[in-house]
Amino acid sequence: MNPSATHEPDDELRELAGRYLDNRLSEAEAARLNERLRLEPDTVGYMAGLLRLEAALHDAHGPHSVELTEIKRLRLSFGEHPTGELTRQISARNSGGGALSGPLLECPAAGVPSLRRRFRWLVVAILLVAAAGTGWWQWAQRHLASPAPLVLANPGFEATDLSLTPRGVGEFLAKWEDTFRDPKTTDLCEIARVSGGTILPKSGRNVARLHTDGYLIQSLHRADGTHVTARPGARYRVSGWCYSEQPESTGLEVSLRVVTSPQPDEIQYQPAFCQVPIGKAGWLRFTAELIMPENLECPPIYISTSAGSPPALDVTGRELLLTLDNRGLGWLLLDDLEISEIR
Amino acid sequence: MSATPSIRHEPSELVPAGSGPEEVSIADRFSVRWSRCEAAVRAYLIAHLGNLSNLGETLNEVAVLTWQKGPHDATQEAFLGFSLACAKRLALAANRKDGDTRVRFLDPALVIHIADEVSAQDQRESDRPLLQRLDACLNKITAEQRELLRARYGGRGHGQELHRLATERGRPLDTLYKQLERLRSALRHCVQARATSNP
Repeated sequence: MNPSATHEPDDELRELAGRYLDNRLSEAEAARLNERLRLEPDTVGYMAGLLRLEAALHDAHGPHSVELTEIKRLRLSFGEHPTGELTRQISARNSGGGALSGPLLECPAAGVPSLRRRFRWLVVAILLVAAAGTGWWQWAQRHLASPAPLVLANPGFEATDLSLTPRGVGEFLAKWEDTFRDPKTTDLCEIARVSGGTILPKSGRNVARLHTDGYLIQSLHRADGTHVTARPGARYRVSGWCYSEQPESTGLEVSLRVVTSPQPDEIQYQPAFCQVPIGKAGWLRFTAELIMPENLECPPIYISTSAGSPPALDVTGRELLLTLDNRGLGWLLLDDLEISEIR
Repeated sequence: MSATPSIRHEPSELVPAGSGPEEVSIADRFSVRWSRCEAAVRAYLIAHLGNLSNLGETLNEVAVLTWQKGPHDATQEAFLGFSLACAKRLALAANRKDGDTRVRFLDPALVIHIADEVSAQDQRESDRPLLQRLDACLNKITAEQRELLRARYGGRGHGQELHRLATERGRPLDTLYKQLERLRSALRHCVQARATSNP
């Protein structure tokens, strides 16, 4: 063992560290602990040892493992314009009891060899089907010459499983931009649980909840992974389900944006925009048509104060982002979003 | 509280068998890497989170984010760096969500330093997992001490559980915290002694 890990603390350090672990430090005590950790290298080893013990004590009294589940779905549509869409759903859950001698890890590694053997052929079969489907799709793309359809990633917000979380609320909106968004304005809800059963999702379990000024933003791309760029006269249709309890004060806006500079010196252009009327309380199916103008020279619409006064810009050929904004006074819910190109 | 498997499964146990579908070997690689850095991430979260009842949920979010976007093919150091960057952001977000303004934070640079040291200690002691040694030490404590640990580490809000226990035992809360500090110190000595002795 490294000598610093066995460093014997004096009474002051022991008390400060204990109060730190129990979250009972005063500001003065926190400053003193920081000072000692900075000036006395051995104390870092002692603190690291304490945190490992603390983590092990939590482990010994709570669930043991995290299980990540990834499901791949290949959806093929046949007909005049055959399409294929491959989606991934990832979820995490805790498992195990409180006893130290509890069940071992359930993970896709060598810890469970019998399970791996049992499912190996199934995995191989799924991969073969996926490969065949992907091959067929590529063949269809080559022979159909039309561009791949537009897709949204995680359009129903089911990529994250909140079922074992205590409150059914999370801020992790997988596949949507700005992963570390402000949870005060946009979050993920297992709405049936959060609302006590009074509101049900349109599908699955989760919905996106947008409080006032909350937003969702995603880079616009096609099923083959290519980004969609701005071109004059292009038309897009965005649809989905919106829930509101106060339709008169709800303001859902759908727009296409070009971001030329991210935060902190943010500059955004908005070549297409549509305000969605919400005519009734409860779930409402909405459709917004976004039409790119023939002249794509746009003035900047969102500018950080630090970004100065950027000029108008011809956004032709620049990558587009889809944005859904809540400009109303109350919260709203979104579920099962879709996007398509109007030809 | 939740925890991920590194303490129970050493990296050597998780080395992939070799051949197999590509997806399985990606999962194997992820398991090995995550198990190596999970202790450091957990220590980092313990140092950063204002409300430790968020520990399990936040740790899961770090794991999911690392699985989805982490540098699977980069070095272990890059993988750890990515996980710690996620942990920092998610811990700050969790604290913001809780409106937690209590003072419990160490200097961020120190927390990184401590997380590195946690990871290094885990690697050095990989032949005698800490949890196994702690298991043996916990078998030696009294029922009263076990109840105290359960109140502190078993519930979702240790403050309330300790309050309840203090009321039940008719003792000031400070006394329980003192007992807890002595108990942690004793357990620390016990697991250290077992690291250098025979099982």
